[in-house]
Amino acid sequence: MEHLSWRRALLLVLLGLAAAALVLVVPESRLPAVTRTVMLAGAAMSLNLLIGNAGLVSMGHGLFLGFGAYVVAIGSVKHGLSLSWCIALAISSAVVLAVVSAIIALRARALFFGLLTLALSQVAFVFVARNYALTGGDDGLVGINVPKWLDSDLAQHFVAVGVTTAVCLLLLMILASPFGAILRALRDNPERVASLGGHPKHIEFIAFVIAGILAAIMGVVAAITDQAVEPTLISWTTGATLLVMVALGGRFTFLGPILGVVILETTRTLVQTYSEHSDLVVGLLVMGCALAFPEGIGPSLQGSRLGRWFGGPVHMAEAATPPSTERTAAP
Amino acid sequence: MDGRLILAQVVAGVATGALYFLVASGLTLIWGALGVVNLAHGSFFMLAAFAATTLVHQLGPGLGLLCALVVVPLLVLVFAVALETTLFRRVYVGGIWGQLLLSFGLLLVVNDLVRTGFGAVSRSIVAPDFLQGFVEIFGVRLAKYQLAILATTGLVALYLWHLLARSRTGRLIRAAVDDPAMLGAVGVDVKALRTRVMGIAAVLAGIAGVIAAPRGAVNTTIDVQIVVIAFAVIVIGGLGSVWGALVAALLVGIAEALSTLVIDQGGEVVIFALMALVLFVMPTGFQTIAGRD
Repeated sequence: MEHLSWRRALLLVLLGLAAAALVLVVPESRLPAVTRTVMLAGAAMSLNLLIGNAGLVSMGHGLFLGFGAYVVAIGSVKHGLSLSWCIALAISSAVVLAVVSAIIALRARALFFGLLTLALSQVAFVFVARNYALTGGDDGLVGINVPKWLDSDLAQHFVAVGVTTAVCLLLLMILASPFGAILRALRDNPERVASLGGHPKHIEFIAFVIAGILAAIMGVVAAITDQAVEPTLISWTTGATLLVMVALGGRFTFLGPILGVVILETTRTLVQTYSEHSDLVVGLLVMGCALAFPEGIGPSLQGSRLGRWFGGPVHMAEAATPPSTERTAAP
Repeated sequence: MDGRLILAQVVAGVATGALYFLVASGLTLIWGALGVVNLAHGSFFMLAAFAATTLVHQLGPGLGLLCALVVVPLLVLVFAVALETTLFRRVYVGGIWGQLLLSFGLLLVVNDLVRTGFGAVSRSIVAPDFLQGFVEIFGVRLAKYQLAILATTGLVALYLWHLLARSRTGRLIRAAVDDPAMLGAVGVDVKALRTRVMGIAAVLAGIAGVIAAPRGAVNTTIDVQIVVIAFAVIVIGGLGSVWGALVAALLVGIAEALSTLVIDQGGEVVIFALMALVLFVMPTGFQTIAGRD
């Protein structure tokens, strides 16, 4: 059960301040990588509203991340709009995109839902990667105009940290609300929610739209901080990476996704500076975690004092169910 | 647009679809019998394609490809069995999350190893002399290599049909798809059976990798490319259904080939649009095993 308390909100703010204070420790050349990690952390948190809480395993979350980034990039680079207009445009059109894709994706259930979201993001990815006139195709778009005060790595890092912290606070509020409770109830037992008078589809729909909009906001942050966009942001690689980060950190722990993002991104960027085999190291790390912590690292920290900081366990019933029980339903 | 061109494209599409089927059928078998979403299935395909290019460079187009067709699937088989017995076996019980992490990690590791071992440069090989060029059948110009692909995959599909529908192994696999717990209870070694299914699936992907090698560039992005397409195929066909995957693979291949007549690039967009459309109309694909939604 998530609960909103001053302590937890304060913890989030402190975490945000700590992330902001990283500029004092991290060398200047590394700062963009840290900023990117912060941006991904926000995106992973928004994805976990679906995965850990609604039980909707979306594999195409990159769609919203990339969409937010691309609307800003196209508005700024192709049409010369000011940044605030771009942001307004990105968020308002993300609402439309989220509603439409929710209607399509929620037709299917469980694994099919995930693969349908993957299909949607792949359609968008191929469209963007081939459409050189509008989106710059494979090369992406470079040269997003930002106001002068935002034109430094430092300012961009602070913006990323600020937005991510705000997104996390918002998510905590959502999860602590009655809506959050019914979302988890739905994940654990949809029939029961329906029999008690809830509308499973409506609730899932709202969660999907919220998660989509939040991811698009993180996409806007990505566009501002990189001042460039490229199509891989939309592709399934981004969606799958976010999914793996959530799974690695622990989807039943509120801050688990952040843990996953930090572990994977830090490893990747650190290894990248010393050798070109970052994929090998990250891959081995992920495989090791799969064998040691199939439910993510977060829950196994749960018992320790560090774990209590990450938030209590939400519900572990799903974790304890062996797959064989799902299969006995065959006719 | 004249009819012959369309017909030629349809044949090309069927050949592509046949390749997709070889990869997708293995993926769907793994899902059905092992309950594993194997993101790393395309890695078998990529390994086979790179190994085939190496053999062809060493031995020449004719002999090299023939050798590759025999040797490479066996190597992939050994690799897959080793993976199953050491790694995958440990994550069956834990459910989908451990499997997802494991196969994603494996995807990254194999990709990195292939890049190191074979080089990041895109490779291409030519088909053997006697399979180059075109033949005309009823006035339709068809590439010989496409016909060769069709013949090979046809044979493999026939064998697969025999294996699944007519042999004891096939009966056991189908039983494992329906109810692995019961199968274990009546005394069948489900563990060994799962290893065998992984092996069969890897061999299918290996054969596909070898015969796909002369068709286009062999590079380190094809593992992800093929596995995403294979996922689209098995979702359209219905998860766990081999023959649903056959229909879906041919459909996807033909749709992709025909789309090149209308739009310049972006055959893939057709695949995923088709997948989204089919799932929108039939949320569980053409044919799904009951109780596994």
